[in-house]
Amino acid sequence: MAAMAEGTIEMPRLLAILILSATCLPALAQDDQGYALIVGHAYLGSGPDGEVREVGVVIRDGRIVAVERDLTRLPPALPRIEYPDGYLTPGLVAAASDLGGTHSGPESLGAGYRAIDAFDRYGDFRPYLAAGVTTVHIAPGEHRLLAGQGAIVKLAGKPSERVVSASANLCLQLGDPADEPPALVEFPFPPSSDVAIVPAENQRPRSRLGRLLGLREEIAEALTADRAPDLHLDALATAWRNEQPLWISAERATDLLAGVSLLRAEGRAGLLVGATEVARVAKSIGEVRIPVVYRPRIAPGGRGGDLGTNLDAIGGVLPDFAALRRAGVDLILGPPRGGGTGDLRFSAILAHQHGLDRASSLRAITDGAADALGIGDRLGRVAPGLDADLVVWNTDPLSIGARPLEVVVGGRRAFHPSVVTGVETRATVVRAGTIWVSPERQILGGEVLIEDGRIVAVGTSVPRPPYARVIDAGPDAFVTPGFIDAHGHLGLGGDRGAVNLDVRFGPLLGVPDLPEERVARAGVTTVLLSPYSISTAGSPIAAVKTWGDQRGARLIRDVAAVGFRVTGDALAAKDGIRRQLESGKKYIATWEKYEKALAEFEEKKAKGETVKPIERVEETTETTIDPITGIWEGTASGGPLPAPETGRLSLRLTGASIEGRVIDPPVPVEHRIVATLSGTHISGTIEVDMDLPGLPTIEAELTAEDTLSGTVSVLGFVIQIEGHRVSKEAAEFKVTRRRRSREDGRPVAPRVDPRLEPLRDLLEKRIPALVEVDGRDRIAAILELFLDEEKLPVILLGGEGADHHAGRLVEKGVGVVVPVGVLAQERNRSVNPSDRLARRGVRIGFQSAAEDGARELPTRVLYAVDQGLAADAAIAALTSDVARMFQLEDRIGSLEPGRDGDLLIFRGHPFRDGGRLERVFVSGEEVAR
Amino acid sequence: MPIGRSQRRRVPVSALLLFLVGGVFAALMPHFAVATPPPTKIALVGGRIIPVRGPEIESGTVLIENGRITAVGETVELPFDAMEIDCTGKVLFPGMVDSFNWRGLDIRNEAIPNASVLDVYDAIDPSRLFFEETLRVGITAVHISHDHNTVIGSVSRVLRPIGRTPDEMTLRAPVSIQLALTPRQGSDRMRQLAELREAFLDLDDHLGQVAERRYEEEREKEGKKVDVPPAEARERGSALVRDIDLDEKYRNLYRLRQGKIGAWLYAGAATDVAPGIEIAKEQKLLERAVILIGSDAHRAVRELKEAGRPVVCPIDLVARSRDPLTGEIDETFIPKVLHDAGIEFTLRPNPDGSIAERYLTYQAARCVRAGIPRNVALRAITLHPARCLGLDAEIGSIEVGKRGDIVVLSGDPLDFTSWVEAVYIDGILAYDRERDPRLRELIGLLQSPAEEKPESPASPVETPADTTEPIGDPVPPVESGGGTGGGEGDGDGRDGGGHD
Repeated sequence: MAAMAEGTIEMPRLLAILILSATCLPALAQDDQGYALIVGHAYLGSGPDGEVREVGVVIRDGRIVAVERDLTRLPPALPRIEYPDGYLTPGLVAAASDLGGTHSGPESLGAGYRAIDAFDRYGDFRPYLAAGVTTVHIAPGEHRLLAGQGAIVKLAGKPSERVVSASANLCLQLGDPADEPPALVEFPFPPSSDVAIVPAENQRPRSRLGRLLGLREEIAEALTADRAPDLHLDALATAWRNEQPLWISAERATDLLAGVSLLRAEGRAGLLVGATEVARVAKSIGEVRIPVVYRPRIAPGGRGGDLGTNLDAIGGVLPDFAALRRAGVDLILGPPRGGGTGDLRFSAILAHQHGLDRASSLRAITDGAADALGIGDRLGRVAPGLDADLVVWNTDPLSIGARPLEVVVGGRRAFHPSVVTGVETRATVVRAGTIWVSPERQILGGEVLIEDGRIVAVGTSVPRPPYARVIDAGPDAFVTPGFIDAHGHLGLGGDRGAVNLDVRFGPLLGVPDLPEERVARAGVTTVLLSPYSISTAGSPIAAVKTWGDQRGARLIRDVAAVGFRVTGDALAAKDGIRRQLESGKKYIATWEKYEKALAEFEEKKAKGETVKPIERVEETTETTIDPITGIWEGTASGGPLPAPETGRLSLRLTGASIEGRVIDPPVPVEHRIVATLSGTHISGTIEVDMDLPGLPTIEAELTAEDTLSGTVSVLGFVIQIEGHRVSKEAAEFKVTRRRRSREDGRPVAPRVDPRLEPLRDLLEKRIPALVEVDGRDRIAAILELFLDEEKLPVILLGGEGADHHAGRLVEKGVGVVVPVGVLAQERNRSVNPSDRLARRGVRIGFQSAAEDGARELPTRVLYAVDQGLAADAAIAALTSDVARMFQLEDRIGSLEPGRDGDLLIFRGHPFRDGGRLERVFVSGEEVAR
Repeated sequence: MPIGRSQRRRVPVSALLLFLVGGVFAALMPHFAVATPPPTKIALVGGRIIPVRGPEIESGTVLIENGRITAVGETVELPFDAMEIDCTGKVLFPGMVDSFNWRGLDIRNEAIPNASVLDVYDAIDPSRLFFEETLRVGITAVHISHDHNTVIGSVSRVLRPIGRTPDEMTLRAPVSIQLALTPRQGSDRMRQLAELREAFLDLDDHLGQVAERRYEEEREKEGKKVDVPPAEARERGSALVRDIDLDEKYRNLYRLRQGKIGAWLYAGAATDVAPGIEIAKEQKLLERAVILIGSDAHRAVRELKEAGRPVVCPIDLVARSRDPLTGEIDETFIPKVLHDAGIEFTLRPNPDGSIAERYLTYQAARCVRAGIPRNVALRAITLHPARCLGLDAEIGSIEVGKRGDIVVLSGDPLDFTSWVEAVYIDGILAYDRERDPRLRELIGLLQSPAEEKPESPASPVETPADTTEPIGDPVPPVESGGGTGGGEGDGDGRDGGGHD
């Protein structure tokens, strides 16, 4: 409630608002203050201001109190319900329906039958409301010359308030169904000789001739003074004296004319219903201005009726509605004869297709119908003083597939699609002048359907699921996939710590906060999330969405690439990476071995052979003193050191891997000792955040308990180290030797190593390596390693000097994430690396290298375009190119079916004059505007 | 069920026999309750008394003299000639009232839409097993009426579930005529309401004609000629109309409108409530009307409350509705809705439901489970139905001046392990569980052969002379539920012993 009371409600909150409003609407209606319904388009009722854009309807106490075209004039504190993409109409009025049923009484002239008696005031009419019909005329049947009294009812609201008119008119049938009613039989009761047996009394009419005659006789008799009381005659007399209108069913031209002559002769108001052959007498009817409720003789959901060669068959084709209007026929539309009352709108669609203009089609099911029934002063228009019976459609109600998003009757919610779908609408159709599906495919005048967060269809016309939200962005709208930041740090919150391959960003993702919202609103929907400093030993890079209400929805891939940083000497760096890849290969080998053994085992087992355990090692648990963990004091000497240096290290052993750092003297740079213990031998590296050509390596031996000696190699120097443990914080640990196979010979799977899993993905070419590298030589070495030796997918990050290798990059499809700076200085000249690469056909991506600084990425790309980059290449560089380099093209980067519903709606081309981002969708959900 | 069919054919014969030899039978069987001249004064002593109106008495006495309750209290001074019956450990509860039932009639409904000319008197079959079943569950008065498949029903009456002829059974007649708002089979609401309105219009027409004729007759007696227009003559003659002047066809409807017969409105659906009330108001019946609702009508609770009339619940106390959009089924406990709205409601046994639902006490217990206070639930099976029938001064509670209709229960009425020990109607022992032959036969069949030992000569306890009590065993409580399993439903021709 509080949220609704504040100014405007922004679109992406729509979901929450809708849920809220489900409970709020009735409450609001009771509020003295009322509420405002704000809708993007509206049909208010026939007249010069029929269809308008953006209107605010103030509703209070079940009535419309104001209709404002200028939203600033709405009372500011008024709670608002907004449907910016919706289309408002009055609740549809069915001037004819089958809702009353048919009374089973035998009387041909039975004015005493009342349709209102058949109306279930407690009925649940939501299936009709779901089709936008809120007011209905019910007849007591169309099977008798005078079937009874018609009524007008609303299909929602309190039972006592549903009846608009209990006795609205007299329902006549001037067509064939009226003929040959059953004879009136009075059974002698009690059956005794005192009670005469009266012969059955035949009733009029037997033919067309008898219809008007029978009616006039009955009227004359009803009006006779001093006759005996009679239910039907009394009812007729009352209705006739009250000058009730006549609701006349007639299909054939002759019968329609009979209806006209009856109405003119008696000087009564009335309307003609059914009117299949209205086209043949359009001129006569047009002259007298008697409303005609045309009901198409079509079963929209059923079987077609055969007419054969019968010339008298009725209802061959729909008339030319435009001609009817020209002839002056006051045309109202009723539900199709073969359909339900809920198909009223479908009648209007048919009429519109057969020549009826928009305004007349809408009028024929709203204010026109209300006027014809004589309730136009209360219903059928969106105007102050009238009942607040309104429908908000998801699109133009005359477009096929339109559905209500909100039906309000008497100011209260009467229907909402959540009742049907169980959840809020998840389907969205975006219609725009240009749909940029991918660099290869753009659609002019197309639509995209997003359902449950995914793109389901794209094309010039897409399916319309019921109750889908339809966003008609207009002919100048330009829709692109969501933009991708190829290298950013969004969400790290300034944490510059080293990140190893065993870290996963996924679990760290939270609900989008202000920074994420800023980035998303700028159109950047995906960030390739890298640590601030990519490790030389490999770092994970995740692909995450910038918006989404759940972690699972935000994470595209936990490790989308393995990042390596290359510094210093090209060959040393290459070796470093290769060493990492080797460990990955070993890891893969253990798995392959296991899988092979498992396959063999399964095979043997399938054959029924007994399998011997490959190697039985008893499972033992022994308690051992941890030989490493603790504080070590050591001396380093030799190499470049002028004098031996002493210092303290903190080391920790986990399994066989050692981690540690120097604690004294304080080392000014970020560093980490990473080593492995095998037996008594220690080997590893010291990771230092410095520009060193190659990492320092450690080789040492545990010479005795708590004593080690060995060497550290750095920059080609070798330093001797000696050390002994001064404190053993950690204690004892258990060694569990695992058996290689189970009792039954089934091999045991190797341990899953999170540190090596990303390398396995890389080696199996599921993800690329993102190598942060600059310089012509180093790039050459990296390309040699990845493309020639290992044949692995690779992306260059930064890549200054990559243009020298453009040919190879294009040939191998290697992408380059261009440097942060749009312009680079080269021989004292400004150059635009992105343009230079793109021009040669190299796939490029842009990076923010920042957190919410990514919001400026599209602006920077615009600047790159200003500096020569092709506008379409810029879109590709922000979407499909990046998706393809990271092998994420099955999820993001294009608008092909199956991709995530990440799209941007621009007014004009995003990178041309006047292009402006208007709306952002991530996984089908709109981000706040 | 071939057995059932053959028995069904046998019924008329057995009914006929019963009527033919009834007198002889009564003379030969001095045990037969109705035939025996009852003791004029009996005192039920030592039981827990639940009077329904007024506080419960933990241990007290009910004194019945000449069929009426003359004293209720913890200590009552008994006349010297009162027959004392020890009820220690038992519970005394008013005889329960079944507020509406068509069972006991030969057919459920008459074929004609307006049956007001008919009286259920002609259709009552005292040989129906239904009455026996009714008595067995502690009901001492049944409102017998044709069912709802009608426009205007026949004249109903309240019966005792004991007696050989309708006259002997009748407690109150005529009681009511049912006006059904819900369309009968093959009709629709428009026609139903038109027929209903037409019936009263025809009555008016007929009354006008009779009044005119009566006026003429009176003028003729005075030797004068009619000198006023017909309308005037009708008005002047309206006071002269006597029952006897009316055509038989209209007589009961006329009595209904005069207040001599009660009006029961049947509203099967919520939408029927408002037109029913409207017609009742038009005919000036509303102040006397009882509203019988169907399984959907509780939704019109606001209109029911405004009408301010007692409401009789449908036999199925749970209403089920299906959401047209989602298909979900929603269940509502009807008495709770009525109670929450402050409407006085009456419960009916459900002979079509489970065996348990045939007990009014079970229906009341369900109400208590649904959160309705105990005393309201108990009144809904005693005092409220009595009030609906205009018999609240006669039956429905244990109070001085009321008829001596007492149910002796083995425990609390809402405890499902309690059973009916004995039923007194007008102070006469109408039912004694110890002597219920059908129940005994049923339980005897269920009992293992080992338990039939008392019949063997080894047991010297029984005197062979007393042949009416061949089995002396107290009836085990476990079987109490099975005792009424003999089909309270259609009842006819079904034999408690034939269930095995």
